[in-house]
Amino acid sequence: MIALYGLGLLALLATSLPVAVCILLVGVGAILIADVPHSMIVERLIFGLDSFLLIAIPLFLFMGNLMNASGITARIFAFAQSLVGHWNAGLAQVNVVSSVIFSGMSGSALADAAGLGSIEIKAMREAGYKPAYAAAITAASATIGPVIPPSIAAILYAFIADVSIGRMFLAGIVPGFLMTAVLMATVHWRARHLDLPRTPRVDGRTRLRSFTIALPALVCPVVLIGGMRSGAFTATELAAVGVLYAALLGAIFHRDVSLRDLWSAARETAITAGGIMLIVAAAHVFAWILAREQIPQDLARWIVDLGLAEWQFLLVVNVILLILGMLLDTTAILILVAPVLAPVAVALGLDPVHFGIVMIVNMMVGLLTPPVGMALFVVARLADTSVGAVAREALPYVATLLVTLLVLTYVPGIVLFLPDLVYGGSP
Amino acid sequence: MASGRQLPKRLMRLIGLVEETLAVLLLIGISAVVLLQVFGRYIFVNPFIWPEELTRLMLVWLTFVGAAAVTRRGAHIAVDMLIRRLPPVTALVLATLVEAVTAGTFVWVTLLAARLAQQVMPLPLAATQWSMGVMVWPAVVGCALIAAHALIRTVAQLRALLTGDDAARQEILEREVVRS
Repeated sequence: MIALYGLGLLALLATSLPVAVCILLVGVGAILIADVPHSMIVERLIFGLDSFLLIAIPLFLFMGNLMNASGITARIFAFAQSLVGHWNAGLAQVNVVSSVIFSGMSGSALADAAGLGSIEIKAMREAGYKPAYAAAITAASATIGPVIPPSIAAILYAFIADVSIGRMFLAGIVPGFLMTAVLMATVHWRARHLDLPRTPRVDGRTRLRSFTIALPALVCPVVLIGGMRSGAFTATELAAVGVLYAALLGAIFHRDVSLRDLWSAARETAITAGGIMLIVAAAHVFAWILAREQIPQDLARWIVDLGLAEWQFLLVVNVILLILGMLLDTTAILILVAPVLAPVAVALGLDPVHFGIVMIVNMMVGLLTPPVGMALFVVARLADTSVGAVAREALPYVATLLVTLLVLTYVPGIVLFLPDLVYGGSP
Repeated sequence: MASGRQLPKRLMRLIGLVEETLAVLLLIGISAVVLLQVFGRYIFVNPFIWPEELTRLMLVWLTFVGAAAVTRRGAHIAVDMLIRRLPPVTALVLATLVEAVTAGTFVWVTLLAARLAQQVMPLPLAATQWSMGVMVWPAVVGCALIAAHALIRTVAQLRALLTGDDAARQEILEREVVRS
């Protein structure tokens, strides 16, 4: 049964049918095979969206797009440049640092790559970096975005696996900074072998000034995480506060932002959200079919019978996810795989929050691997170079991020340390 | 004759504009109502109960209106790895089939949703006491629009395929397939 549904779904996806339609067609299959009532399909499709947590998804998307439109990204870039610009391969390091700062106010890697990326790639090309090199580090650093909160992927996972969104958000912080350190070290190590330009060191006063200019942006992640931690706000409420904050930043500090820019940011958000939320709606149909056919339970029993050790299971899951990451979009993987595997992971005694972060980091590596590496497509277009060239330049980052993924997979303490500290030990 | 063809085109463009404007207004509306809820709780110390329900309703509306806009633009999330590697005519045949299947699927969903909408009409929502129909009917309309956009795209692609104009085929392919 699992094989039938799984292969059917993959075959449908391969035809380039929209993911939502593929899932609905699996629903049709379930009606024919398992005699599921028709009405359940559409009931799940519509009522499944009736969730306050899911509202956070369009709102966080909106916040990130508004931040991009408000010109805040240029300030972040200037601040990062004053910090690390004089290092070896300075602008590449600036690129990583900017992404970390921006990740605190955006929940999607593609928003990072597209918004910050256009500024970063332009600056790097003007300074004499190869377009493919500039594009590759932009794509690689954008993967930090969905690991550090806020994160659309973490919200989706929390929703699917029924874990606390607060724990998921906190669990991403240390891994996100670890990825940052690893990427910066990779840039540094490669810079010894490549002849890369530097920018002059700036004096303390300039640094302070760029810090002051960027301050309104730097405050944002602190407020978000603080608000969440205090328990005074839900993720959705914080997202709405973030939207207001981003809109005010644009209106007050950046007079050159027109109403038209804000409107087009809203339109892009609304359309992106429509695409994502339709899949989320369809995911309910899918989850319900899975539950009715008892697929996660069967799979869990089968895996337990195989006598796989925890580490073997995690290795197999990581390999499968990496392969899927080469073929599928992040949202689609989460929605198709998390409802199947999260219950299995729990049955094997793994922490669902740790498993979720491993899944997300794994899928972020998938954004950098062809043929379907969405981040590669976005940055290649921005840098006006070929996807293949960027993919080759991105290889060292993929390799070191994979090592990071292994460490995160097998040392759960790195992931769970912060949520356990704040919320108490895992239940 | 020309104006006869122009009219539906203009109508669809108008519908597209309405969809996107509505989606933007819903997005702004959701942000505003959630903020109102926060301020209601902390400033007026008087928690309202209706805003949460209203935002959940608006999320359902946003999803289906937004999805209709996505369909019109041909921007659904899909795996385009295979179709990118096919020769142009084969790719266009596949793209046409994909649109046709999408249209068919959503005609079916629309009919089921309309039946559901009728069934839930007498049921009230918890906080606002509105009929549950306000949640389901917009989804019915959204699904119908998705089906309509997909059908129009099927016809446009079929026409490019059959009229045999290479330039038109290429243009449609570039717009449809190479979307990322």
